[in-house]
Amino acid sequence: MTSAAQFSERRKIWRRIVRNPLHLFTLSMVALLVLTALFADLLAPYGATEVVAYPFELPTAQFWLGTDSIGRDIFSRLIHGSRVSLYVGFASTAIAVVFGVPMGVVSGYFGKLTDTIMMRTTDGLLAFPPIILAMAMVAVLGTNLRNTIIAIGVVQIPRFARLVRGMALSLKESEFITAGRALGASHVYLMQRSLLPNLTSIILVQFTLTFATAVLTEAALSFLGLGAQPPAPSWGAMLLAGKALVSTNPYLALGAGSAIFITVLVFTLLGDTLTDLLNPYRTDR
Amino acid sequence: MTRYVARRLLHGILVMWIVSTAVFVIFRLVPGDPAAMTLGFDASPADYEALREELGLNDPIHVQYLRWMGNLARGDFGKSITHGYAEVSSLVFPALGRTLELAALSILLAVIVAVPLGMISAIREGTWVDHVARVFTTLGFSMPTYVMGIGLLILLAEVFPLLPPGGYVPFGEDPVKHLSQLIMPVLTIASVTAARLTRFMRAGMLEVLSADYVRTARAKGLTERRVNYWHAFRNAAIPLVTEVGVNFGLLVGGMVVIEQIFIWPGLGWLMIQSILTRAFDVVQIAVLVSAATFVIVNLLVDLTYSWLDPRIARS
Repeated sequence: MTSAAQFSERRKIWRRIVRNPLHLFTLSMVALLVLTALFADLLAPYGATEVVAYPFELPTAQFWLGTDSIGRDIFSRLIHGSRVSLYVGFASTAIAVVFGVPMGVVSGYFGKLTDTIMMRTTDGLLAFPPIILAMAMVAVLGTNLRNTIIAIGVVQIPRFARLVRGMALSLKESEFITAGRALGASHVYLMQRSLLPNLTSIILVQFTLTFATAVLTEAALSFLGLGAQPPAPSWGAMLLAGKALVSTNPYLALGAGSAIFITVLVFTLLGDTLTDLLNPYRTDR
Repeated sequence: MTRYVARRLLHGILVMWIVSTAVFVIFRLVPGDPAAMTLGFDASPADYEALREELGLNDPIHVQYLRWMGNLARGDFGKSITHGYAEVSSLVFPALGRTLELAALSILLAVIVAVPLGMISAIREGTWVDHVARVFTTLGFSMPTYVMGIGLLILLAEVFPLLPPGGYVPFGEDPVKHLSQLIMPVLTIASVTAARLTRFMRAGMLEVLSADYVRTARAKGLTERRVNYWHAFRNAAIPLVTEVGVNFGLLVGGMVVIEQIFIWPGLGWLMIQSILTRAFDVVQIAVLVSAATFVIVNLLVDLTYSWLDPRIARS
């Protein structure tokens, strides 16, 4: 692809964004969430574990959502919590990509016995309900944030492998791969230079969807007491604390619940947006 | 057809073998062996050694593996040292039954809502009905079940105290109470599942409505009603079987959080309790049983699907 073509490709994507209000909304929300997580320390009025007032203060101008059971500012903890959520989401999805994508490419490209072994293994792993497998791993490894990330990441590996394998399988019959073989290109070269670039957009879309799932799973594990441990400001853990205090201070559960909901919604929408933006077959009027 | 069924059964058995091996690997080969997990980190070395011996952890790994697979094959799930040597199966299977009850009712309710909603949304594509349905499905898609569950709990047990905030009484003991305890968890799971199924139904229906045979049906003068409900619906509904099955399987596992919120003593609840009390011998069987349920449901779904659409078996 020449640089001129690349340039026009970029302009096309930019035009699609500007023309569609939903895309604009989604992308600005993603930016907002990421910036919140990056600059949590500057944005939050108080520290994540800082005791700033009496417990169970009602919302005021000073404490926007009131304080929790030991007098920490709920609003500040929600902001700090975005960092935990997005960090776990990113790190665990990265694990899934780093292991899942090569597995899928190799499996789809070589086929035959390699493929059979890999696919039967993923069959077995996919037979576990995702959260159960993650729970089992955390139970064995021990409950802390690092193990939560590992568990969530490992659960998603077979999903990436499956998706990429399917694409690689259909692509490897393409003429440009056959041509590459005829020209004497090595398998590794073909997988890296010919297969992978054609898979990037589908991997990117899957990345955002897996990211949303990972955020959800982290919150669920923390809610069950198997993820981030107190006093870490995890939304799931806050939801758990909020559930116990539902009758006295519903803001805790409502705030954490909304934060999880909005984050997952935004990243699910991002998946749709990327699918639309990166679709090479779509014609713009 | 017989060959297809045999092949699917064989595949199911193979997957179950991989699953039980995976459980074995997870619980044996990782740091922190089962004995350490059971006793905690401050146990005396003598106790630790004694327990290792009792659990057979001092045997070579292949001996342990063969014993594990052999016991499973005979349906012997062992006794739980942390539960006063109770049969693990006497803990796991009643819990599974309670989870299946919740899952089945939720799926039923979800289908009852999703099928008509998805159909109408597709038939009236682009109208306000369709927009409302799509907002509902998008929100339901991102709404974590536990957030939904806690929301309902606040609404129906705190703000308007209409329903018990959770708990479990067997149906035989107090049918009315049992049913009232079922309402909130079922509503929670059903609404989230309904969103998924509606989206699926709508997409399937849209695809079918633009198919040639539907155009032919219209062209030969059949009423709109007959085309939609007879020709289109029946073909759009077949893939839904798969979707329902996948969701059912996922529910059995994913119910952990809901059971925890509403204190419903199902399989997920048992797992959490066992993890927190380090009862690894119960956890591993609970993990295995929930995966097995998923495999069996998928198998049943595939067989139903090939019965409804015989082209699958022939390909």
